[in-house]
Amino acid sequence: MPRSRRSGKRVFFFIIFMLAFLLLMKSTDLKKIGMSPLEGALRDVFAPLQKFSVTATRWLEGKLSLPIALINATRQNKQLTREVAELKGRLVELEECRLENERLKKLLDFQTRLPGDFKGTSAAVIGRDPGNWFQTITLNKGFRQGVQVNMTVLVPEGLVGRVVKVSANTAQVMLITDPRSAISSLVQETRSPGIVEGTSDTSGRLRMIHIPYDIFVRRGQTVVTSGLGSLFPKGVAVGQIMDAKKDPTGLFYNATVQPFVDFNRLEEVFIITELAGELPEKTGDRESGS
Amino acid sequence: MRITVFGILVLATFIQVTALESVRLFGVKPDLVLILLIFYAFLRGTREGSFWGFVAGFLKDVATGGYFGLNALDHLAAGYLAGLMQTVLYKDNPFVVATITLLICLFQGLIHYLLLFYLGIFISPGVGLGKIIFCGSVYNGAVALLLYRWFFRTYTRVYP
Repeated sequence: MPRSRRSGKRVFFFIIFMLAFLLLMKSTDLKKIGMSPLEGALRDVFAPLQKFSVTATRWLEGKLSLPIALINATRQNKQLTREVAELKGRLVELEECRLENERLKKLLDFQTRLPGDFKGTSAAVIGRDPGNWFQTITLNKGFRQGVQVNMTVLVPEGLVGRVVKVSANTAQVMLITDPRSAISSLVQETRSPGIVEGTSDTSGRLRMIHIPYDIFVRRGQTVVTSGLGSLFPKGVAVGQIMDAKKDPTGLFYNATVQPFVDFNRLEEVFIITELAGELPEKTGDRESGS
Repeated sequence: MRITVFGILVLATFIQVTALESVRLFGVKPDLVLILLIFYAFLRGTREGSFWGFVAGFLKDVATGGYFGLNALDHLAAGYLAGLMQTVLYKDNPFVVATITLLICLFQGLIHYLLLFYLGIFISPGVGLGKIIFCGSVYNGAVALLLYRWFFRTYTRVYP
């Protein structure tokens, strides 16, 4: 066969191959399908090994950082003692506020969902996304333990993300810092709505967009989930506003939000499996924040 | 030999999703799978580079979940490009290989960024090009500098 004809054939097959993969890529979008049986089986097989590897790494980290930790321990001890005293005082204040809030709610017959209404299960982080582009984690619990797609994942500090894929014994969680994530949120103090998006920024910050222009947004305000048309329950802490600017149209504010959760140090998380007697929706759609 | 290479790639992917999280610098972690692929392709040529690039990317796609082919395509391109350098550059100089690794990681990052556009995922250029691609490539180049001598010694024992 002449050489030119052979290379022409190669180019032809290469183009077909590329097109096939571009189509495959689109068809495997997270919002379109669940987990394939092969993928699920592989995840389940690797889950115990991943757990072992993560534990071994943490043990090694602990050993290596021991001398430095000892040097800092005395200083930290003094600081923590002072903080504990402060926090005890604040706890009493907060308890007082909570009781007052409960009384007012009873008076107004206003139904809200408090963290006490959540039912859930804890899970350990056993894996991370291999690249720097997406922000996902793998947990050691799956549908056998009652975990379903779109369930909310939290830690005491705030919102972590939502379950996007589930196998028998593992679940993949899209963190709120993932560029595909969007959460309908509120600025707690002013009740200004907006959408908190992940940015993939290596600093771990989020972006809150579409905040109405009529109420001033300032640094230090707290952002919580709004619960409106959302998969996330209302009132879960998301982060704190670092700065805000008007968007190019001048109609909205855009703000940078520092999440409360340190995503690099997530070890255990809490999955909400039931919320005030109802289960989260089981759709596979991407969170739109509307 | 193929089983060994496949085993090494599986192990590297496994380390990538677990242990490497603790060595993040400036928010990025090194890509061990890509670095090993570039080493191997650089020593073996385009044919094996493309093949193992595809396999390595596919393993990452399985580990990531979703968008099957996203990593497979850009790793295939990276493997091919590293294979092209086989005949034109010195194989025993870690600085040469570290530079190649840096450049190929930049190229692979750009392809990945464009494929994300195709999938409808927009990441701002400052974050995507500046932080993830550039910082990630420099980090990979530095890790390549540390690892290549060991890899080359092992390789020359297997393929004398």
